[in-house]
Amino acid sequence: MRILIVDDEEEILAMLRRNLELEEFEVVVSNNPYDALDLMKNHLFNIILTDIKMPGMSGVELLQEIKRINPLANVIVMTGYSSMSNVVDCLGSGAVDYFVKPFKDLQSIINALKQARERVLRWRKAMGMT
Amino acid sequence: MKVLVADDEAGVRDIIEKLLFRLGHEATVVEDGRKAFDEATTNNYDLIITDIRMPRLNGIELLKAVKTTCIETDVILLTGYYDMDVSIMALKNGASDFLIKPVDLNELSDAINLIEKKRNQLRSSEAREKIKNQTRRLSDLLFVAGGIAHEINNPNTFIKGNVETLEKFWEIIHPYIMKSIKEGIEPPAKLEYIIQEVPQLLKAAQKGSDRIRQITENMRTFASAEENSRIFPIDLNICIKEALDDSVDELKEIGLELTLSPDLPRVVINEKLLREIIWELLNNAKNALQTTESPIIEITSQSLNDNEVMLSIKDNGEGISSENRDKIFTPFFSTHPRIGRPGLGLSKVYAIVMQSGGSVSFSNEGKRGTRFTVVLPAAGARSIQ
Repeated sequence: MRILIVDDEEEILAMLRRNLELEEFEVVVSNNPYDALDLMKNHLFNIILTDIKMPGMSGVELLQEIKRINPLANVIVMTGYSSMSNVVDCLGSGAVDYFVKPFKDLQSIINALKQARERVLRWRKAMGMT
Repeated sequence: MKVLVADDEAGVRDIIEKLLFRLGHEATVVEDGRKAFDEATTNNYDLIITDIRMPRLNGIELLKAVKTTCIETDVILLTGYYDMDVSIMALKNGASDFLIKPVDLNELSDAINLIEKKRNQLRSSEAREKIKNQTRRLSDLLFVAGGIAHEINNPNTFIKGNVETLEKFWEIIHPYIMKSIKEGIEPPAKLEYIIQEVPQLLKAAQKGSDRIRQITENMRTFASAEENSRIFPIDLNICIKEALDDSVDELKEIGLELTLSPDLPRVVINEKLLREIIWELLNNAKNALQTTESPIIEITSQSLNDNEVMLSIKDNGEGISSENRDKIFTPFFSTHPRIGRPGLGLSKVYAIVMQSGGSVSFSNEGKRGTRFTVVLPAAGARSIQ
């Protein structure tokens, strides 16, 4: 399953890519919200893991744009500066889960993405898509 | 006040000394200007009451000398006659008051009371200014700390994540290495040692990174005022008991004496932050008790009046030396640099308490020991967010 990861820190992208490719995800990365939205317009991403504190766009704005492109996208947010109200706003705008950086352990983030994958697969099956 | 009286007439000295005693001041008397000056410069006086005409050093000269060396000392001049020039000279040189002999005791006591009032006001406004400066400095620091925490977080995220990934990779390749050895493939030098060490060095890297994470998390907790936005009235006594339950292991060598006042009003503070205050103060007390033979921590909760609740935590440890008194709430200041966390505990307590509209202070108790006192607003005393 294809997943889009958005973060302005290249090394974080690389680190997450390694782990998720190991879990058989097809990983696409973007280091800024604008390129990420362009990618979403051209390819279908059902799972998106994104930072919500990047230059140029607030987390809530990004979430709203993502939802406009694909209302069914499973968006999981990460934030370095754990202002809880920011996270709460993102959850209110349709994010399904959140993680605070640095991650306590990688496995919980991998598990959250696997769960999202299960949800997408179940939904596809229910809709008669394979 | 500490008052010095200088007059060459024994009768006048006597009357003034008695008056000062009646007003509750501490008086020292001398009979000439020279002695007055020596006394004033060796001991710190709040007020000098001096005659103008005196042998060796007259009152005006004494006034000038005192005002150049101990600028904060007030001076009342007494003179046997009214002379415009002398009075102008006196006031120009910083005399606080000017009275004509024979001294009217009511007038003199009014003058003394006025000076005492002025000095008290000055002292309390100085203290307020000091607290204000401290708070400002701290909030600047916290702002910087919050920024640093953010900057450190990103690199630490990928250090920690990559170490974790490497651990995972190692688990995958480890059995293959073992298998190759079994199958007789010539191992490189020191392979056994490397295999043994890799998991440990990964664990060490992980540990270091975790510690950085904890530091940045701590910095964020008190840098972020938002953390404090969700507050409910909570029971201080319950919080104390829970904090003690959580610290059973850490405090097992230490005697605990609890004096918790029942029926405390609830306090208005974020519960998580209150727990951190208690935990940090216990931790601080524990650190101070390392060299104490029979360590005891006394914990007291008490309602101060209708709108404040007090928590005090006292240890019988090493106390706080006078040179450290001003640094005690400064971030990263620690007298136990080798123990665990790097001196953030008390500055965190200070920041949390100040943010919550309370106050925190400390005092040395007797020969050994320190008492930290936190005063928090009680529920009902202010509108609850």
